[in-house]
Amino acid sequence: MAKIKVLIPLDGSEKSMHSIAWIKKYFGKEAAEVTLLNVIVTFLSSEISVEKNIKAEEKESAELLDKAAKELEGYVVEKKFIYGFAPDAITDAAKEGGFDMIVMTRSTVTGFARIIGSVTNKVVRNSEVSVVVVPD
Amino acid sequence: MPKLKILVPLDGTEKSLHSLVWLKKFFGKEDVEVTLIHVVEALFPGQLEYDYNPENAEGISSQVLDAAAKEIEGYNVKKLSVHGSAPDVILKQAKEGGFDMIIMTKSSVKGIARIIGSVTTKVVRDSEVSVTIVPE
Repeated sequence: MAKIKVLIPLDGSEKSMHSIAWIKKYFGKEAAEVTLLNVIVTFLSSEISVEKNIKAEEKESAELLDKAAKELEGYVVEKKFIYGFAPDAITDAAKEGGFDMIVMTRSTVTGFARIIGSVTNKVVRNSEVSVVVVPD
Repeated sequence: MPKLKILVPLDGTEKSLHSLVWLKKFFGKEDVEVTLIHVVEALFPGQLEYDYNPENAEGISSQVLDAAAKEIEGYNVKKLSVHGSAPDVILKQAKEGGFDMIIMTKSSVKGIARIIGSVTTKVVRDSEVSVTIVPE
């Protein structure tokens, strides 16, 4: 049986790591290959600060992806970051990469987390790939 | 490894059978025990006394459940017909039955299917177990 291609979007919160726990619980190292995706949300900012910001964002993203990959030791893991609007970036990546499923953690908390939750909603609505929503 | 307990809500449409295709693709007969649930909803309480016939509803339920069980022949399958509001029944069953996962098919069509889509939305929002949304 071919390995299942799983896409896990991470937003840097502890919560989004639940998706990784879910994969480990239900799919073994031989069963799944995982792509960790961090979407760097692009804000409009003044030109001077852009370059500096980008470097800092990319460093932060790399750290996040490394940390998540460590949780998945033994699995085939690919790390990826892209710039963009999270829901679109995730559904596009899932479709173009020929993934079998997207695993996301839901958020029920208000505040910033609410934005993350709305990402999940949009992905569920627009995805052409099946989406697993893990409760937090 | 203990078998995963999976809850698959069915609404009687062809579409909702996609959940079973997904299940067969990713989980073997030895990996899971499946409960098929059909919720008999009384949508318009005002019409209850004219149209609502519990015996008839149960007949429809057993047709839906039997057809679905045929799709996953060889799996360990339980069938369940419950009266009530679909999201509430599904959420309650998932929690009380100690399920690991709910698998539902998304709908993006308008009309009656939209109501079904809203069931999915509610389940995703409130579920305490992970929910897999399969595109149609």
